[in-house]
Amino acid sequence: MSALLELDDVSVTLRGPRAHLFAAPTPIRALRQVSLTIAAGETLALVGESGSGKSTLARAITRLVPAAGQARFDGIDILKADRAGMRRVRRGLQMVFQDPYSSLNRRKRIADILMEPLKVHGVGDGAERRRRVEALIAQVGLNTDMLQRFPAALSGGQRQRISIARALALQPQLVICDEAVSALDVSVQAQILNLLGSLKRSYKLAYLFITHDLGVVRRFADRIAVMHAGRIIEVAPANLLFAGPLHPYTRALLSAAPHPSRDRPAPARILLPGEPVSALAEPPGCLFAKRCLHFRPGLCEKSDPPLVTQGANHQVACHRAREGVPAWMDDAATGGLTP
Amino acid sequence: MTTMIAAETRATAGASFEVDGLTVRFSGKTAVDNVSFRVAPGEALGIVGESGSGKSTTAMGAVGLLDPEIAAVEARHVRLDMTDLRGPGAPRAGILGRRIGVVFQNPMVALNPVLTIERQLTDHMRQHLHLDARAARARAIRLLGEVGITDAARRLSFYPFQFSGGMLQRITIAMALACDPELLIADEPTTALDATVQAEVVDLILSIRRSRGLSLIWITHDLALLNRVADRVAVMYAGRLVEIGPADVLLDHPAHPYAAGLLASVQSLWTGEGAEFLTIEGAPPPNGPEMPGCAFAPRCPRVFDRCATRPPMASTPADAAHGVACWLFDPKVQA
Repeated sequence: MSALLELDDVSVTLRGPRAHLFAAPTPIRALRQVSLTIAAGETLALVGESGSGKSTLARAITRLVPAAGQARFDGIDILKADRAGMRRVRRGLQMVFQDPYSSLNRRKRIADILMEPLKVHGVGDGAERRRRVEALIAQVGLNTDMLQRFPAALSGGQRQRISIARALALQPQLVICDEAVSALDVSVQAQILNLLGSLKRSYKLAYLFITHDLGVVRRFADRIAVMHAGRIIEVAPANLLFAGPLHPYTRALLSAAPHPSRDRPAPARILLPGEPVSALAEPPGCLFAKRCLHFRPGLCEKSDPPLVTQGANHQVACHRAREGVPAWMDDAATGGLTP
Repeated sequence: MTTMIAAETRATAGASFEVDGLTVRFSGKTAVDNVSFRVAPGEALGIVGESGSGKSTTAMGAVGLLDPEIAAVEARHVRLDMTDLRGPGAPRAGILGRRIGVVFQNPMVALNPVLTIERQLTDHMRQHLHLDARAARARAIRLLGEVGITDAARRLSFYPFQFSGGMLQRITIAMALACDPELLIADEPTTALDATVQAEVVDLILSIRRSRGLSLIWITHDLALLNRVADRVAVMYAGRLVEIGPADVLLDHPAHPYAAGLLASVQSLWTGEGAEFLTIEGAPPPNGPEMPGCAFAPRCPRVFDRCATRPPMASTPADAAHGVACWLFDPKVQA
């Protein structure tokens, strides 16, 4: 299966704070050599805590921040593409943002919001566009009465449906959903996930689904990539990652998620010592080493572990995980578990 | 050793907290409609609901934290132990911040960015407890230690921007505890934090509650979290209390169709099979509880003719301590 989106060593460096007024800004390495592929029709979830670089990755792919490295979408090198190339990319690659209140223009009617991408890309004539807009609104489960309304008259869930309809207007192959359901209430969240799922099946859409909420990705994603301090530290099919996470950080992250069932005893929680690593940190070794329960002196602080394949579809960036049979995985032995 | 610690942190037993018939209106529009509940001494009540359901407004209205310019609050009574917080001549000032501590959702907003941590921690101690600067400082250092902030003496002179979000939330918890409250209200205290930090802050609040014997009201939209924090759970929908009962009963077998739907949709994210997630169709009424019948009726899969009139809160057949506001559980309807 050939990749629809292929990232190769994509890095983003932002300007950080200055030590004093006339000092040069400290560089923040928001994204550190990220390599990743998404196949056509695949849902890849990107999880991680705030500041780990999830949204920066989405912004690098859509060229909203300058990035180094190579990012190929459908054969086009996004990071070097000219205007015409970017127009082609944008037809195939659309984005849905977190907050449906600020991502829709409140002065435009829904019909005009959905019409805009069609106009910009010169799709069809007026009648054809109107027909398309009516089809779009039906696709996302809303009534055509909605078209004459303004965003203020819609609920949060309805607005997010409009954002999705707008993203679908140009019949893209890949939709980046940046925390697209995080701002919604639980019962509405599930409605939007069902909508995204059925659209995926009907149109063979691929999603890059960015979220901090592990509960949402477990069933929705085909594969999951875990980010930490600007790096991807683990990638695996969803069921494999939940069943046997290899990176010590992933293990702590999964253990921290509350589980909504009382039938089974809550699994022991892995407690990480210290505070999350600063985006300004530039240690020579593993960025997680300071908090890691399985830190080994002489190994982990020497070099940054590369992302390597471990088992059939499982990739992990951890020196200890490469040692083979993960006997070290006994978190209890480190004393880092809740009693 | 043990006696020293006991003497250091005075064990304050929790107080009971009783709200009867609380209604809150914002410029004539009802946000909270006739809500009543009781928290027993030392008990943890979780209030759960979706955004706009009135869960925060209920707690903030009960303790007098809503701006009287914009919110009209009515209640038959609100009592902390025997003290009526709302009656004529109620000693409102001095209760909040002293006998009731509040932890808010976003510590970056709750703290003043231009004052040091010391100033923010000691101000109300000095006012409520009449401590001098040295005694207040010593108490602040001890409190920061209690909430897990190391090197507290030095960090007292720091400003909020010098701490991470999780550390700031620990500081606001220390502030809420400063005057040994008997009731702690935590309003989505972990929602603004990252998953691993969230779990740490939950642990911290629970261990403080145990060691101090505090009564606790925990407001959240996260049903899964209540598994860990609540003895009893109250479910709100569109400004009304629709179900209240012991956490282990309610989270296993919710009676109200809304509570059941909410639990099913959360659980289907984790444990369901197949391509579809379970949902509740539709959306909450945009105008809150301003309807004569049950507010959930338009979305309810089990709606019937009686639902056009508003259901009273009644005990479920299985458990007298488990109340539900739904006609399905009315003894006359079931007979």
